[in-house]
Amino acid sequence: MRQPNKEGILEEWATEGGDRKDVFFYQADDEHYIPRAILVDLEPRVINNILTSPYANLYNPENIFVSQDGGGAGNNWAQGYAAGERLYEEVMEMVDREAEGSDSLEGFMLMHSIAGGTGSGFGSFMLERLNDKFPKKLIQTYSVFPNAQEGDVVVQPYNAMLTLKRLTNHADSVVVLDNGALARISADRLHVQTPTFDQTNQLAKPIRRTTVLDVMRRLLQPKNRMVSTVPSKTACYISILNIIQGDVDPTDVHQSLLRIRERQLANFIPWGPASIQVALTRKSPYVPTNHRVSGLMLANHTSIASLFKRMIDQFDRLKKRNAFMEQYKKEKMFENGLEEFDDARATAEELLKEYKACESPDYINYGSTDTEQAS
Amino acid sequence: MIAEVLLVLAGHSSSLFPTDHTVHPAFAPLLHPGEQQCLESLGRIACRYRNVKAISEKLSRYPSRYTSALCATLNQILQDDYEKLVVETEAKVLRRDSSLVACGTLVPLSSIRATFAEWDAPLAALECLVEDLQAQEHWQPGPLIDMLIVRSHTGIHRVASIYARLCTAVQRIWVRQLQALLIHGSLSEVDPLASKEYVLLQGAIPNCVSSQSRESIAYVGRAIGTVKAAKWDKQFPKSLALDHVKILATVLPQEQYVFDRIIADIRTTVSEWLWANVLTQKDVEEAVESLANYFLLRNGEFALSLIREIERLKVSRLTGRTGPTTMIREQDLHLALLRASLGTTAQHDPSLSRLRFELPAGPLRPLLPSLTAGPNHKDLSISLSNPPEVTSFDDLLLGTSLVLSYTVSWPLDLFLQASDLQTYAALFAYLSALRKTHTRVHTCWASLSNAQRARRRWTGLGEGGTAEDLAVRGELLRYGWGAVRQMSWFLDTLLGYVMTDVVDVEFRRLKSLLLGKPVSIGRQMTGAQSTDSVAPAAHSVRTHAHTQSVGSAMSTPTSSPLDFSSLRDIHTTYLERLVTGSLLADPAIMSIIRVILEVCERFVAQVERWGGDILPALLFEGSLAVGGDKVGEMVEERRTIVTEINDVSDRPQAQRTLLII
Repeated sequence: MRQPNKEGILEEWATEGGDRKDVFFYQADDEHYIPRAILVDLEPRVINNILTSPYANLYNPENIFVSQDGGGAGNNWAQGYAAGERLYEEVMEMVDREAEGSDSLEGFMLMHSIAGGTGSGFGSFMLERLNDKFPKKLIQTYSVFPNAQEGDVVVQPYNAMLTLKRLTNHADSVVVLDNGALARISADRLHVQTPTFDQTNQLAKPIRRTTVLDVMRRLLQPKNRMVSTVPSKTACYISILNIIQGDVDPTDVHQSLLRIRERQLANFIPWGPASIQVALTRKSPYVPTNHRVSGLMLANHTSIASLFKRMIDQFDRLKKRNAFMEQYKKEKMFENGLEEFDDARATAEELLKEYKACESPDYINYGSTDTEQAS
Repeated sequence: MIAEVLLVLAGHSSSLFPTDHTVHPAFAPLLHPGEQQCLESLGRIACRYRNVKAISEKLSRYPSRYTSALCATLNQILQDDYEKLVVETEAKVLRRDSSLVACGTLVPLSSIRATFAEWDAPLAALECLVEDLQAQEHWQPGPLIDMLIVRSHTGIHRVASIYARLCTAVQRIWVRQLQALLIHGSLSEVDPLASKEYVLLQGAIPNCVSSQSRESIAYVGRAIGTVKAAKWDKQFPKSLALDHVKILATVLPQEQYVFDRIIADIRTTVSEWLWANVLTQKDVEEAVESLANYFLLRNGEFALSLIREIERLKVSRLTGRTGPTTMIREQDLHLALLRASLGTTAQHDPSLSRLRFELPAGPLRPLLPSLTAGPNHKDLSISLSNPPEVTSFDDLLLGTSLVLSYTVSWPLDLFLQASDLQTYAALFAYLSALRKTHTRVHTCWASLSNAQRARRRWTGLGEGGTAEDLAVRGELLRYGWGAVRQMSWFLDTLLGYVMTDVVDVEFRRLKSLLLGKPVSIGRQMTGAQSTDSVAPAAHSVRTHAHTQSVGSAMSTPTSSPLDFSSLRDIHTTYLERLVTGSLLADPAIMSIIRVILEVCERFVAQVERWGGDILPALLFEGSLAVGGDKVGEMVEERRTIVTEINDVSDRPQAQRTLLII
């Protein structure tokens, strides 16, 4: 939802929506709204794109950080991480400034890719530090995971694995995105061959049918997921949050949930309640859309394990040959050994196991442990 | 002799009847027994008449205007009928009327007796009446009119007509009072119909007035009276008031149907005028909206902030040093309200100033033993086995009974009554307790997540400890997460149901009814009858709600402008549906929910005491067993606690509650 225009000036038609602009923006003066965002990159290309785009004046220039040497992280996690150590002071100053400017800071959102060097390495570093510095705040990341088929970065299995460990240990919530799946959805479902960024964004609400049940049912279909995972018989949902937008009668929601439960459209963990949460939201008063109802589903599904499996496999294939290790050894962190790689792999393995274990009915079994205690 | 008798009959004393109606003993032997009989019966009439006169004289000096009116009428009747008869008879005797005087001079006693026979029964009845009246110090108009009406239903025509005249007289006076109330909103000093707050007094209204009319009388009186008292810039139009005076003058309360109709007419006119001039749609909408915002937590941002503020207040009082700062008083809570509004949309809402917290049990002193005994910890099984009376939630937010109140000022008090506000307060207590526990569980979730991140930094992949520990600690961690997950799920579901499916739906319905739009009624649930054994219960609840909504939607005219009474009806129905829908009306479910909330609170508090983590830190004493081959005691202990909490939430009854929802 963008109410301020490209200059950050509030559009005239955006004053009556009753929305809370100050969540993601702060008001600089009477008409300027500035996003509470910090843009960081180690090489200037992407940020320069933004700065030459119509949105150039939207962002606070003090919140844009581009590394002075401009060389990027060379698609190398270790290089990105090391850059983080070097640039910590500068970036953290920006974070502090934004945090102090917030009335009630709830948490942080981190958007990055985990395949290249900056998003993964620098991102990992920031994640650790944010966690240290704001231990009580929530951290949610939107992480673009490597795509199953193609990869333009050879060492992406390394980068991804090293980042995955940080995501596991330092984030409260990770929204896994997969460019491949997004591209597939836009090709299949929206009939767009080369998706532009805006169109891909549209996938957040891929449904144009009118009933809540329809929307929810379609959201449950694997082909609409934004991650490519390998389905298995035992895979199940751990929890679901449906955000339904539009003109919805709350009683419909109730009815749809009952239907979904009755027809067993969603396969849930066997050891706990089938928790489908629904959040109803108003339709944006600013973005015209011809869908009466649209929706977004955030779910924790055990089939994500297949993604970890694939990552581990790719990692193993590369690691077996010790390929491209020299680049990593150049950095201080790996000078004395590559245990960090094994550690990261072990974390991923553990995560995989936890997801697998979760599919079994006795994941949490109070009864049996009681008898164990007795014996 | 005849002259003497006539004088006696006119109320004068005579030596003929020294005490009462018995003939003087010296005179008796001279009389024929028949004559004596005649004389004595005439004497009885005279005696009764005197008696009635005397008592009514006394009664008329009573302060009550109703008894005075009664006595005046009584005197009038006696004067018009009885005394006239005496005078006429005397005149006839003197004129030697042939119908009475035989042979020129002879007047038979029996014919006089016969003339006055018609007064036998009425005087007896009247004597009885005045004696009854005398027996009671003060007569309220209601019982008085009731009594007169009942007595006028006698079969003896003369008695009935006298009673009817008396009754009419008293009712006229009463109607005068009613006019004063309904037209001018004024109440008399003596024997008022209603209290200063315009609540009808006991005994002020006769039974023949239907309850509907009573309510209308109170309502109209209150409205007019308050408009006058408030010196509102628009007063009730004179012409209408005159009309009302006229139509009221034509009717007596005993003519029940006509009276009801007239009162209803007056009420309608007054309501419409009020609705157009005093309490406008806008006022009502604003009030309803702000009540929903604050009492039904529709302003979620403010509600959350208020809950936090109160938590903060508690902590600061608990950690503060001695002195007044260790108490929580009403003004502290008021300050908390204001602080909570800062930075939220409530900050500039004028209706915020109407909110007020009350502590029915007096200031709270968290550090000292409380003066009032806190609610005893109830065991789930006990509360389940004997379903309790009423479960209240008002002590969950602060720890002691806390009531949110709303100052209702004129003219809103026409629309909102104290009972409505009580319902709102009960809903607030329930919803805020729910919301508070919900946020607490969320905080607990976040702290578990934080603790896990912190722990993993040292323990790496597992949860640390010896090989033995590792498994058990892992398991305990899962227990903790499982418990929190279940609690969070339950509260999410319940709160989601109450807030979206009940509060929001009802509120939107109310709004659209207020705007006079036809209500779009949600479709009935059709898919719920099959398979699931619990579904029918939920279904029946909802169907019930729906039929109700159909009913009330039909009863309100959607095309014509909303009139005031239907507005009140709509609001009352709205509150009822909220209470039913949010399950507050079901004592059994409420007691279970209360216990569930308590369990959640206990768990969260436990985790807080453990430093925000389920697992004890590895270096804590008791965290690891000394020998290294056993599980640490602390881990054991905590597992027991968590398991117990889980047990409680796993109880079938609790589950059933969830399913009904």
